[in-house]
Amino acid sequence: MLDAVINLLFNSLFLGSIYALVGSSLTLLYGVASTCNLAEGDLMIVGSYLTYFLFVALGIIPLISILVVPLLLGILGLALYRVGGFSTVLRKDTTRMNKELSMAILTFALTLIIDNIIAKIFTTNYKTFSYFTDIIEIMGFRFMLNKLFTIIISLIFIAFLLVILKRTWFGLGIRCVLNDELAAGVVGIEIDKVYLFTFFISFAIAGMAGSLFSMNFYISPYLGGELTMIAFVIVILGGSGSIRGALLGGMIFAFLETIITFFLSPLIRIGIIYLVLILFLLVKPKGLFKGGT
Amino acid sequence: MISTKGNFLKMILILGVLAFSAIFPFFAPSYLMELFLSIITYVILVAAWNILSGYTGYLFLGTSAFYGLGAYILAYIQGIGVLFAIPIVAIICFIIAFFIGFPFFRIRGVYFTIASYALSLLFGNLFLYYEQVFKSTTGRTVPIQSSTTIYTMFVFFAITTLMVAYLIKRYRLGFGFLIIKGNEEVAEVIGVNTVIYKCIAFGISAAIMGTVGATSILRGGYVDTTIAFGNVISFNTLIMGVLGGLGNITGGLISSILLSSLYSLFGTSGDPFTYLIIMGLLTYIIMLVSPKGIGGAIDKIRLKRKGG
Repeated sequence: MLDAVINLLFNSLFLGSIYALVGSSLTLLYGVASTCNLAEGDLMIVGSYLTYFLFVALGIIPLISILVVPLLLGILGLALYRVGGFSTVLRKDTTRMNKELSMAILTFALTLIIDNIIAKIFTTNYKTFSYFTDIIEIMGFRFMLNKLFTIIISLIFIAFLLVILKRTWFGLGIRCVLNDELAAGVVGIEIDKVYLFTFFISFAIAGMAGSLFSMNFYISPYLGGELTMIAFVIVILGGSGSIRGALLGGMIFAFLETIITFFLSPLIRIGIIYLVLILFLLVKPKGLFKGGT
Repeated sequence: MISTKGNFLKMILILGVLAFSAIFPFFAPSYLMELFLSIITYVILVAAWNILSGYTGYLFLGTSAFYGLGAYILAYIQGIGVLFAIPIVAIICFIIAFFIGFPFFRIRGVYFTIASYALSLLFGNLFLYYEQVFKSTTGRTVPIQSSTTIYTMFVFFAITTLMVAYLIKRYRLGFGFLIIKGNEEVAEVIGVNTVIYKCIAFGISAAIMGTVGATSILRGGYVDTTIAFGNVISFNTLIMGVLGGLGNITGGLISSILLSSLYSLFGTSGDPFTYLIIMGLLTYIIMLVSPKGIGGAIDKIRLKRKGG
């Protein structure tokens, strides 16, 4: 009995830590740069496939990949912002609503491009590799090492992110833009640079999440859509722009999901995700923890 | 306002298209027929999508929700006769969408797009769960109709939908939608009942989508949740609508014909990836270069001609 409870809690902590990562990536970009990244899950899947490719083809172990992959994804973010035309859309002088819609369509187009390039290269078959699959015992309870590793790395990364946001000049700039973009521009913060940096960070977190995801699950090119939806549920639970909200939202959501899968049926799991999403949008569209990072 | 010469040409064009479509089934090989049916499916879907998203500005990414709903309702009530069932499907879809609309349109902007996508996945999952757990089936069969019957139905629906879309734009309802798209607070102030207007747009749009879904499954005679609630339907409709230009019926018509013929030629083959990559790139580029889509570009050329 206790064993089952511990197992459920451990599993929801594990899922929650991945969800918290994706959620904070999405929430940051949405809060700061008014970009509703519909390609969030797909970027994560890019991270997964990069990790897979690096490990299987080049023999680079995931322990190194979790540093390399976020960097590569971050550079992709920089490129999309500078060269890919995101900057022209975001710096245009229109309402936030218009920008959001344009960015939604652009990132939606991006999902099509990304998913199908991956499917073309790696085929749509499920892929997996085994790394860190040993079982370790702590106080008589047995845990999978890769899940434990995922939890630790994600939590460290989120803590690192919070430190950047709270303690550095960069973070101060980001928080200013998050609160009031106009005022931030007036006091001399270079909004363009803040956007650029936010894109880098957000894409890097997505890469990190994907890298950790590939260590634990089978990966396939079309998983992205579902992950994006989950990330949105988390952002809506946590409120836009709030990393702490994403952390809590991710944990709550993972707990719900684990419970439902365990007690009801995995079939209805996704249905319930979307029900929660729609209900939450209707009842509390601003999220549980609006405001602050 | 509109020159008579242009109207006359338009009339001839429309009559020509009608005459052609009347004799088309008598000489067309079955391959061309199938292609035509796939194209006209999207022509109707995009026009229906435009009534909701193009006119009111709420980007809807859940076409397959009502496409699938229509298909499943038809499968459930097929006992009363297929041709009689289709109007009932339309009415049920209208009512469901109308009432979903009340809570749903409290969500705005990008969140509406997300929620509508979630709606289609939710419907798909609920049907899958219901069928598998309570009925122990994965799919249902319906009587296959001859392609001439389906052709006639689709042409009829296409003409009706396009006419409805044009008429809405010209009348009170359309002006209401236009103001809602521009600024909802202003619309409220000048006395447009925004909630009812949006729900009506949603209902009309959903009824047409449901009808298309119901008719489409009569082509293959089989429905399951992956066919009926396939994301690709929602994606294609949104992309075609956006590329045609929001609320631009002519643009939507052109882009749906162009892109759906591309889709039928390449998207359903063994390697749909290249097609989808190109679709993505096209959307991306057009969104950056001409955010008003094909329709916007045509309007611009027209204005220039009138001016010079």
